[in-house]
Amino acid sequence: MRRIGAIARHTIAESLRMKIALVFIALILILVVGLPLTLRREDSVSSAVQAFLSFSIGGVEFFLSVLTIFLARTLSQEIVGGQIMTLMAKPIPRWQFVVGKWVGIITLTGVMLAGSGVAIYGTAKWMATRTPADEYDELRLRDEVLTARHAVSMIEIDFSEQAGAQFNEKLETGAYDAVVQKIDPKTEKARLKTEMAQRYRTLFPLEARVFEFENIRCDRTADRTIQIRYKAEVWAYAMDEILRAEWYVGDPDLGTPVYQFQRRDVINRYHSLFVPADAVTPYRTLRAELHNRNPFEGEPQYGNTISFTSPSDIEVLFTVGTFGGNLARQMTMIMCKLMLLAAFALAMVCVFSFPVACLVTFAFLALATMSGFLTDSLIHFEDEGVYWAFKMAASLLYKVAFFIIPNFSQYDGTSLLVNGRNVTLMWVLTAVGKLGLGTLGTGLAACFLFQRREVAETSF
Amino acid sequence: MNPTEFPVAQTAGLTKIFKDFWRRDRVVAVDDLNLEVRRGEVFGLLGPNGSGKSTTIKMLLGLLYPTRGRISLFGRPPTDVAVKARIGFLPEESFLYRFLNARETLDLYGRIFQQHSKQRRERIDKLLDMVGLAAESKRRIGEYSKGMARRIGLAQALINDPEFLILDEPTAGLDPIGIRQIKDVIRELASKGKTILLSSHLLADVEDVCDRITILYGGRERSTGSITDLLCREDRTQITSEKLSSETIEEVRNLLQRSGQKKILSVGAPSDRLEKFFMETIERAEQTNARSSGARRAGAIADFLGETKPVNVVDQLVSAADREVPVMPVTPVEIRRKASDEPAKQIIEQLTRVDAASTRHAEEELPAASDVPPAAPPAPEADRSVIDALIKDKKDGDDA
Repeated sequence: MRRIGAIARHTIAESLRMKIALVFIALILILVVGLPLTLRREDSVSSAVQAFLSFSIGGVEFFLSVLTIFLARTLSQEIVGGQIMTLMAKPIPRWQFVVGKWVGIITLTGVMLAGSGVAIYGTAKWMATRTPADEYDELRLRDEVLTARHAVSMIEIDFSEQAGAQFNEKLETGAYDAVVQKIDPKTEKARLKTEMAQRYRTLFPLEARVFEFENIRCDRTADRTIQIRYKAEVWAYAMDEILRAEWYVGDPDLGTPVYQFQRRDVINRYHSLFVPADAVTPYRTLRAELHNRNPFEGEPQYGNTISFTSPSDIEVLFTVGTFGGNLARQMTMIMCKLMLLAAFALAMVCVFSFPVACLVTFAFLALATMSGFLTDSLIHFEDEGVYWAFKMAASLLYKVAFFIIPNFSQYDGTSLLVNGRNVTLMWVLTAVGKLGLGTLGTGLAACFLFQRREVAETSF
Repeated sequence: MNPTEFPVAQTAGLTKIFKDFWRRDRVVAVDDLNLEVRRGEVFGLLGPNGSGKSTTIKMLLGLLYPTRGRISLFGRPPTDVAVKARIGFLPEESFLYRFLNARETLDLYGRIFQQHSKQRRERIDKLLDMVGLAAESKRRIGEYSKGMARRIGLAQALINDPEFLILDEPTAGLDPIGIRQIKDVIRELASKGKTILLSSHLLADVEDVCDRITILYGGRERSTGSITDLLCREDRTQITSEKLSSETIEEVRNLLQRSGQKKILSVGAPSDRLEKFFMETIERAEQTNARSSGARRAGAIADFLGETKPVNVVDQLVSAADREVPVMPVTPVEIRRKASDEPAKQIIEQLTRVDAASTRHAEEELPAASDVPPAAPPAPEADRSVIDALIKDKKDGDDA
């Protein structure tokens, strides 16, 4: 351990004295401190904080990824500069040298990441002290941005029985007679079930619907709020593109107060109802009733039809943690990625000269970050001719590449953090486990490659 | 074999072939080399540039892997970490971290040897004093001259008080003080029972300190033996005495002639070597406290060097057997002087004329031996009157 510590200490000293780390520290400081000054003052505080969080976290992750790759250069320099010969003539196993390098790199990036996290936290809190644009801005900042909320989608009603009954009825009444050979009962029942569920989420004019939620484990005191977040598709809306409707939230049968909300919502956008938390029942359930009618006299309203395409289009959000904890968990996931990246970069410099290793590692980072996008992009290719051939070739290539390269976008909680969504501990533990295993495997490969390498230059 | 004679380092059929990108043989750097470095000796590895000295050393240290053949250090493979704890290595260039200062450099290597902070501090102080850089220990090595960096290189090689010290071109880039110091250190360490492998193409350095040498050319061993055996001139006799008068010399000459001996080839007062004269001059300058930002006159050898007792060979062999590390079945290399070889001195003179860039295969043999006997040593500064008298006598004799 002392040898690993000596190499790690040396790596940190080298990166600081060679000013590599100092350059990145300056860049991060400029980003974290300078960014809030560039944001427009007329924006709402909540939007400004969201923009700051999004750019600063993304920027810090990018800078530290680049730094990690550059720090791996220290090993490459030692090989080129010959210092490795003096070191490897000393009683240090090669694997300890590689591990020492890795520990040095991740210690430095870890400290910088932690420092960045503290700076981001402090700056966000400082920005939150600005006078909010209005009451809604203040509420949004507190309950939608600088918080950690868990989301629960509406309870889906199981229409299997009804779908089966309807299928049998149609069969008996001869509704399928014309097409009986083509109907697969199982598929048809599934179709009927989906249709019924969709019908349930659709409200014709003057209809009302009850949506229920469970497992809302929030603080039920009245001064706290929960949010009902929804996005409805609307047909036959008014010229001003405003949907007018009425909500009743609460369950009088279970002794909670019922809160009424008369809403004017811009259509096809996400909206939130801020509901006092005491509307949640002691059984951690919530009842919300939506009336498709115009509560505002004299305002235009046509025969709106409201539809929620999927169950997740209506969800209840409630606070389960703090912004600080959320940020720390997000930073932990970034750290896991940096650890894997450091191991990969070291493995590459064990084999290649630094320029080549640098390019390969950047390619690895790009593929790991964009793997989801690249895979999804194949959907847009047509299944004909040369496009089909390209699609098949790319698909095969991606399968091989992404069997080795992890999907970093799976472990990116920035968008959740920015929207005050909880970055769950389970998610973080999954990242630690999966990326940790990847790091271990890559690290072992790096040690193996370095063990086989002839470290002396061929200067005979 | 007597356990005390068990070789510290041994190679058998050691071959290194560097390959190109397509894995084709590019050049044979070391070819079927059999070496044996015995405990307590100063062993010299000589050869021109590109003869395979450094490659051999790098293979001994596990920094390069042999293409063929076997290596044993203290009876173990060179990649064994425990073996490296007993070795000190000064590479051909100092290869130090330019951003560290001297003290930090030695501290880094001390940590690698897992020395405790107190021991580390003590050794660093003593080594810095020994190499004459105590006053410059806070300067970054990037600011050092090549010679100063070389001194730190030597200090790092000694930080573990090694049993076996490998010095690759140790005097390269050093001023005469440094060269003298290196030689003194080598002699001192040898007197404390250390084993030293010295690689150099500076023949005077090797001649001054080595017990045995091997001469390499084209990656192959050309000659091996003790310095005394290889350089001894059986056809000459040298007498050294207090200064003689011209009359006495004349009497000696007549005596030799009367007894049927050959003629005296040269007579004169021996001169000091330039190295000694230079050292005395510097010593005088230092006594006047002349300013210098470079290395100071070195201190005494660090007293911790030699504290480490060599490991009992029998124990070491037993432990090696326990670990099932195969001790290579090397046939001991005998000290020999190849019959086909020229006298060593002549080989050395030839080596100094070899093109430094030459890396060709060893099939290209050395030039054929000349029939011309070795040139007589240059006459030292002599008493001209005696010489003139001798020349005059010779002329007279020829005329007669």
